[in-house]
Amino acid sequence: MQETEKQAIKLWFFSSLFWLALGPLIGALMSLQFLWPDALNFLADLNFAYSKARIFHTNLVIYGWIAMSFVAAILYIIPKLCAVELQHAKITYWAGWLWNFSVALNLALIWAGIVSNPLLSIQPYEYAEAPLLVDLLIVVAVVMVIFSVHRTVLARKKPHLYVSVWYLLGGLYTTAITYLVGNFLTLAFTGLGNQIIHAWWLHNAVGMFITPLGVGIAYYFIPIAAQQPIYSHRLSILGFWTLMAFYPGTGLHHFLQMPMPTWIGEFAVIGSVLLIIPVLAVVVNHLATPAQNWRRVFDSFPLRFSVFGTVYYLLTCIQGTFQATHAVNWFIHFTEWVQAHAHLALAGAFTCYGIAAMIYIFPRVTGRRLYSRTLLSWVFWIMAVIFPLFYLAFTHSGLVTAVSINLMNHTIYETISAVWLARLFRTLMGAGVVLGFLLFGYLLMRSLQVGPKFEEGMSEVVESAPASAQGRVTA
Amino acid sequence: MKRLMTILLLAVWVSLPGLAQHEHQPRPSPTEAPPIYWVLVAIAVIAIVWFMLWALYGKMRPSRMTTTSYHALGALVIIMTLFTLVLYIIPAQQAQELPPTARAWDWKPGEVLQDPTGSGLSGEPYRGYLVYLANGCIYCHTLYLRPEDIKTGWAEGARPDEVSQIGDFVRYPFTMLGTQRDGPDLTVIGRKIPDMQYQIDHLVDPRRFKPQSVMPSYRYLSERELRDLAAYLVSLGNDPQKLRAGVAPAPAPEDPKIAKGKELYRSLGCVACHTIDGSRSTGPSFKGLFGDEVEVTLPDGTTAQVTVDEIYLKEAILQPGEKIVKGFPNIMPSFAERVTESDLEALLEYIKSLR
Amino acid sequence: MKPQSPEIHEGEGRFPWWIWVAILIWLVYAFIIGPFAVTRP
Repeated sequence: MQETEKQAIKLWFFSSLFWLALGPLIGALMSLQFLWPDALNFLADLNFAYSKARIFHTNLVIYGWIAMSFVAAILYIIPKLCAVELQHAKITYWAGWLWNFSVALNLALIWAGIVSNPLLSIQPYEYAEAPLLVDLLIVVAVVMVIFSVHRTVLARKKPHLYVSVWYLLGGLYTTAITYLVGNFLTLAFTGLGNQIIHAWWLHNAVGMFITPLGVGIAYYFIPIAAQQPIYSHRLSILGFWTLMAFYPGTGLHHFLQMPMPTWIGEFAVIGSVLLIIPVLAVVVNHLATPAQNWRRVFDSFPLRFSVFGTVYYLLTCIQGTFQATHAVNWFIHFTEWVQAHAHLALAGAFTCYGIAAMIYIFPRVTGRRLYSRTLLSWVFWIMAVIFPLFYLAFTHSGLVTAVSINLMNHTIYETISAVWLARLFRTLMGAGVVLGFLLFGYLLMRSLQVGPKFEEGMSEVVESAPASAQGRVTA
Repeated sequence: MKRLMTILLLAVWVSLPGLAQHEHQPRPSPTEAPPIYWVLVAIAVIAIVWFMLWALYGKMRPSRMTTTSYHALGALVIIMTLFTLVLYIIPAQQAQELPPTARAWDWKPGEVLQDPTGSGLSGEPYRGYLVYLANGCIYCHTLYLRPEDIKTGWAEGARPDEVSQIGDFVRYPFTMLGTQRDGPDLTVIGRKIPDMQYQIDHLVDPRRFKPQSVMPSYRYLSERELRDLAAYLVSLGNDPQKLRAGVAPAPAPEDPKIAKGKELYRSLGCVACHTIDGSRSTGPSFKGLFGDEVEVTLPDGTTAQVTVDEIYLKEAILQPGEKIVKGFPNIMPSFAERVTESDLEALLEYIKSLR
Repeated sequence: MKPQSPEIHEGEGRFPWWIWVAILIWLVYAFIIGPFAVTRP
């Protein structure tokens, strides 16, 4: 691996780590609004409020953590699968700085809350709040990354494309389309037409951007870490094409009861329901691959996190398609069950994939192993135990709201007190998850200094036993 | 066995669009979709089914893949994404071209709204809409009423005829319908609380009026932004033509007691839940309330008939939970700590004057 | 531990038969039971 390539990966890698420490932390802090709203009144002195914090939270998690860690993984995976060096690594390196700058500028502009400036005011599209100026910068950065990655694939030494390349390259292109639609095409529509295009973007921010990239990354690390062939080439093809066919039209299931032509809503629901096919193709492939070699799950942390990510992915997708059907949707719409679902996908499945990728890549770009197995085990158990509790508390809060308002006809004021305890539990468990992320960040930063030297063939993490100086020799 | 399963699956699949139709009034039915849509659906279904069979059971020779075929497949990915985008653009185009309803929100940049209470306050609703956007109000408040909301607890005080229609939004430059409700829907907030001063006070300190509220304080907004935002809120659910016609400044009440009561009605926040024009809101309207016979729910769950007289009104202000008018939620805070005896008298006089 | 090979081999697995059943049950729920469920207000 050439030095500039390593430099580029490191930049995206450690930037994502920084945003990972910040984004969820803001989420945990802003959840206090629902418990002790007066305790957060001091934010008003800083021209800030819960509602702006929420934009910070979603933007940081998506554009800071998920996007940057995924790009770091892509920059590592694509050259490996193509057996060439990353082409134009310098460009991706500068794209990384541009991206970081855009995210920071985005935060500054959200905080400033400028009214009615075409370039600097935030936009009314969820997850695309970034002002037009930031959008333009991000488009430039994405074009730079796509250019470099595509050139790498074109320069490949192996004619055959492994499924990860399909997902990652296809995902980058659908990301570009989706981003352009959410941030620019929406400007061309007024009235409810604007909301319909917004809906297309809203879900595709997850479906056409995060999902293909995350799944493509897991498709690489699972067979590599499990040291097994991928279970089925055909299933991976089926999963890829059905995902691309069914996912992009699902967005309107977030607005099913809004006034609009029914047929397009039905189209969104049918697409959402059919998603079960690509999801099962991916999950069967991911779980059947290490099934021949289950012991590796205990040895290899990247594998363990990837497999857990896939379990969360299965749960979140079953839940998502379930939520999109009319019978369930009217009931849970507007409640926190929807956010709980979003957390299961982003904080559960895709963060697990991101962490797996980081554990795997870290020793290979920095030359150092992770110095503490105990600490990493803590991170894992937080993701495996505390995170589901956090998710359940979140879901509980949403369900109580739905029952209270939809079935018992209580007003929202009466409901606020009914969900207080669930929200307290959510904040506590959420703080635990944030602690896990901070621990993970600390572990990586500390390993930079004290981690023992890594050579290919060693486990990414040292043994907790005293004989940690030697590499692991068992199969 | 596998083949049989597949065939069964196909049978279900092909019949999907028909099965998925169901009543969803008052919206257009799937039959109103353009014929081209069904042609595209048929093509898509056949293509997907054929592909699924081929991918899992067909003969595949990856070695045959050339650079050109890879490029073709890459283009296909992009085409598939754009295909659904076109499907979304068709109704989006239709939606923005529908004629506006009579009550459609319709405020141009620079247009000024005068406070309907005659307080002399004014603001620009259009700019207020942008303030609403810049401060992320959309993350807790929605701007549309579903048919479901009328029957449930989501929109207290909203009437069935106020359920949102496409035409209501035609004049909006962009929409912020919202996906989450941590606070009430605001579609008709201006009809329920047509009082800019109250809206401003509530934005600055929400818990002064609603002790259970979890809304953050927006005291950091500039005075102009607060007035514009309040003007936007007042414009919601009100006929723009009537608001534009303006209001004659209300004649100052003769009786100083009534005048004081009127001021307390706003400053204590009664206005948040009780209208004075007879329309329904979170609590009963004050118009014609005095002397009325109402059915109330007692704390033990039984009901009783009560005449609204001074004794009942005093009790209702000091211990609101004791007798709740049937059909309304028991959420009113006690004002025992906040009103003096003379305040109480003034409020009663004011309510009495609203015959 | 074996050095991790950078090659990934691709197997010839299929959906296990019960996945087809799961998909079928799911589709029946989503399109036949779901839309007509009695839970609507």
